[in-house]
Amino acid sequence: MLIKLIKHDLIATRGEFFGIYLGFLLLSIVAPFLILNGPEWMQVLSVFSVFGVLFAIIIVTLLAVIRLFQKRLYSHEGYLTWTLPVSVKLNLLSKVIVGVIWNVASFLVVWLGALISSTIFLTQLSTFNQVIDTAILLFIRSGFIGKLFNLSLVFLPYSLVTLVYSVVFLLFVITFINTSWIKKGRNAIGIVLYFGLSLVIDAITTRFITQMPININTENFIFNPTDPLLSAYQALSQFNYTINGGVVLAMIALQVSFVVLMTIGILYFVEKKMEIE
Amino acid sequence: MISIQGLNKNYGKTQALHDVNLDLQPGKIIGLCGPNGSGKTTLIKILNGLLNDYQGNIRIDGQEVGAHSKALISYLPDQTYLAGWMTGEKAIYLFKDMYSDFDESRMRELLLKLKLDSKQAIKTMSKGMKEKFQLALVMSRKASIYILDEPIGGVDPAARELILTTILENYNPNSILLISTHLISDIESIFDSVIFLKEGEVMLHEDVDTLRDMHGKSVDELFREVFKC
Amino acid sequence: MQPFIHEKPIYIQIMDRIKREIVSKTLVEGSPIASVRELALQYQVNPNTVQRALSECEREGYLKSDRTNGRFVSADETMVEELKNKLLTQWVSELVTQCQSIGLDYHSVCELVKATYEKEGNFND
Repeated sequence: MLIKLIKHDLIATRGEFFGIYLGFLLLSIVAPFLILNGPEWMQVLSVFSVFGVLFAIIIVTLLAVIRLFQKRLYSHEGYLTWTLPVSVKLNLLSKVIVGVIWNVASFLVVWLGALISSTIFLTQLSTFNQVIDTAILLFIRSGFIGKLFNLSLVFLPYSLVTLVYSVVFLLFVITFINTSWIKKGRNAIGIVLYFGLSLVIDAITTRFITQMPININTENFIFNPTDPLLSAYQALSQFNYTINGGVVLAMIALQVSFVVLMTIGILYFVEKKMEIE
Repeated sequence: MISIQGLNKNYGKTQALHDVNLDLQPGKIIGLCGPNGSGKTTLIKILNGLLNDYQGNIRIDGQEVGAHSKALISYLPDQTYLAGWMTGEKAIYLFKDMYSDFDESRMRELLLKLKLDSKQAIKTMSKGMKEKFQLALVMSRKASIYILDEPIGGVDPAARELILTTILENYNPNSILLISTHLISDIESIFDSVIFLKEGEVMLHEDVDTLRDMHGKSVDELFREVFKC
Repeated sequence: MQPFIHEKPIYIQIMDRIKREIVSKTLVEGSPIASVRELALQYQVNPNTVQRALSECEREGYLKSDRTNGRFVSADETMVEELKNKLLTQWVSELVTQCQSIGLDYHSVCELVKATYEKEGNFND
């Protein structure tokens, strides 16, 4: 049942992303050519467009998730959603999962675009074989890839927790403004609550966590302009970091706690205070 | 099958439902009658889990309102609840996927009878077409409980007859069919019993023929009397 | 369109209708009666109402049901006469009650009945 819910939620929301994902990927193919070969105004336009569309993806993703919650749960579409033969928990879980999926998808699309653009850039500036050789040198032989891999092992779960936290946070605020306590000015209260609560949570977090989770060692990096490749190689091979395991765990624990609290809140709001107009 | 005990719901100072006690048995077509604002829609929303802030006890097939009761109930709200971008086909796909009692062949039949095009997007359908489409979806489920909120409100007589025929043709004689309406004369002949709801209180819950016998009046006339002031 | 008024129990009206059709020979001995569902759809009334009417007719003896053929009319001449009399009694009784309630006396009523029959040319039947 959960899979079906997720499937239908994805179907319902995919229209909002199709255009902008496609646009961004096309731009990531076109822009490098324009930047390398075009007149100055076109170069500037291309760079601005890329950043513009990038920004747009972030906004579109946020708006899509907000709409997913507000429309499908608490507008007239709620009549359909809440009368489906599933429990309240499953309905909400599906929405959170879909929110996370779209965030991950947007992230991947951006990375894909970056990969496409940088590949195009590099192949335009030198031959493909040279690109591969350079890439292998810079990333693999320097050991950078290995270190990056270890780093992401730690940070992937952490990022995922943060992502889930931010999606649940959004659901919490949107659910709250649709309870029977709030009768007017829902949007305004929602915005105020969102930012206000973020500040409060931030303050609580900094109370507990006073150190950075990771320290990156940048002391030995010397950039030599005559041989940028060598500098890059040196930088990447000397890339080093220390992970504050305790801090990372604390941050994860804190965010998980908040997610748990907000989930309890959301369930209470829906099971005791919900009224669909 | 539907048991409501001591149901109270207030919006601030207004009492929308006051001490409602009802016992609805299967195999009956029941009219929930009352003027606008009498609490019919509030009661219906509560039964469907769309309104969860109330006091009292609701048991549907012995269980509280939840996934089980929602699987048993086929509900037609008094408004469009399908997303505008959806086409008829997508709505059918959703119902087929989520409701095990959805009968697609019956749906296709109804589409033909009601002259609806399932490839059309909901937002491009006229109000009448939307209503008919949603009715078709609801009646295509072989549910234990059908709840229709004002199915004939604001439609022309020809459409009304079509809707009543659709309801009569497709309802399961072992089910409960609860129809809320404020237009009684057009529909009273299909009721087994009626509930009069006035300002949130149950004024009566009786078999229609018993009422006709007792009072020598139509249910509609009786209704007008009860709700005159 | 609906042939029933809502002031009287509908199941009684359905029974009346069947009785009329038997008496007027629209329905004869052995004529099949449509199913509950079909009648409910045709008249746009509750199937339980139809069911009650048909069951009552069975109980009163002029309908019978058969597993394979459904319901059919089972009214011999005696039964038809009986029904005719029942209907006549019922209608006359209603007429008399109505007339009395507005103060029409026996003679006025009889005069009017006679005149109506003369006008419609059935006096000698």
